[in-house]
Amino acid sequence: MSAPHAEPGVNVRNVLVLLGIIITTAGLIYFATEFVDLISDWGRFLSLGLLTVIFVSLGLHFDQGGASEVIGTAGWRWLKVTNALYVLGAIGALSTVIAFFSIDELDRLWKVLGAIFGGLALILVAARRRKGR
Amino acid sequence: MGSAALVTAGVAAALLVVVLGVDVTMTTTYALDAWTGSSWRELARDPMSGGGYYAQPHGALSANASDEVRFRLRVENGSPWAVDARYSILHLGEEVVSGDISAPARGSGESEFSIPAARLLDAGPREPRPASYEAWVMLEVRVDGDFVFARAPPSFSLREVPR
Repeated sequence: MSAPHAEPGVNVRNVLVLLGIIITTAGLIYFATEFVDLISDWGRFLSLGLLTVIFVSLGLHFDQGGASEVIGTAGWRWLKVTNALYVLGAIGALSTVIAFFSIDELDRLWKVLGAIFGGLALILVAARRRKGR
Repeated sequence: MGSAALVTAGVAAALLVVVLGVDVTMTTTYALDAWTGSSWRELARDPMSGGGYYAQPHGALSANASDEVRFRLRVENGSPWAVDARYSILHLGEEVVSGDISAPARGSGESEFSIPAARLLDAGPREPRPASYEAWVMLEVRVDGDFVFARAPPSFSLREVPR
């Protein structure tokens, strides 16, 4: 005989975080479409870069905090706050690179060098961190 | 580590607000006006302020084929350095007017120019035209080689009136 009040397996804190992520993302998309004329190429590049830092940092923060599943029941464990933040971070990083390539004032040579060395620098930093653990 | 990541996110969020705030404050706005015979009518603005996606319903401008249609290009410079730019006006892909426009730091400037009405009316049918002939005119504006008003180019109806 099962218990009359089974544990629902929903983590309220993580649900709130996920809702916050969804609402913030919707707000950012609205801002990006409504104010697209007001933001310069450099402003767009810097904003997207900072957004990427925010998403990844929050992902790291929640990763340290233990359970990040939104629903703890089997079949739903993939739905994690950290996953959502890292996916947003990846989208933000790709958008940042596209915004960097779209800067008209910058010579294409600097764009190529910036993208290649920026990417390599990230890989090297990640490799050093892994080795250092 | 957890708190360090949170501090990083907080600092990045603060920087984001600063970057966007400074960028929006430093916006340079262009506007193109046409002289209606009694006042200036704004035909286009770039960047458009909120709700400016759709053209306002305006009556047609009136001109005789031998008249000059007067226009005014305005710039509102939000940046802390002066703007000094070369502009050109294109009609049906051909440059019809060019000039210079300048504005001091955080100031405004304007440059008036005119286009022969015959040039704007010529896009329509040849003589004889109907008595109440109206041409739909669309202009393109380039400032220092870049198109402004790209999202909503300045356009208006030009009614030909007999002298």
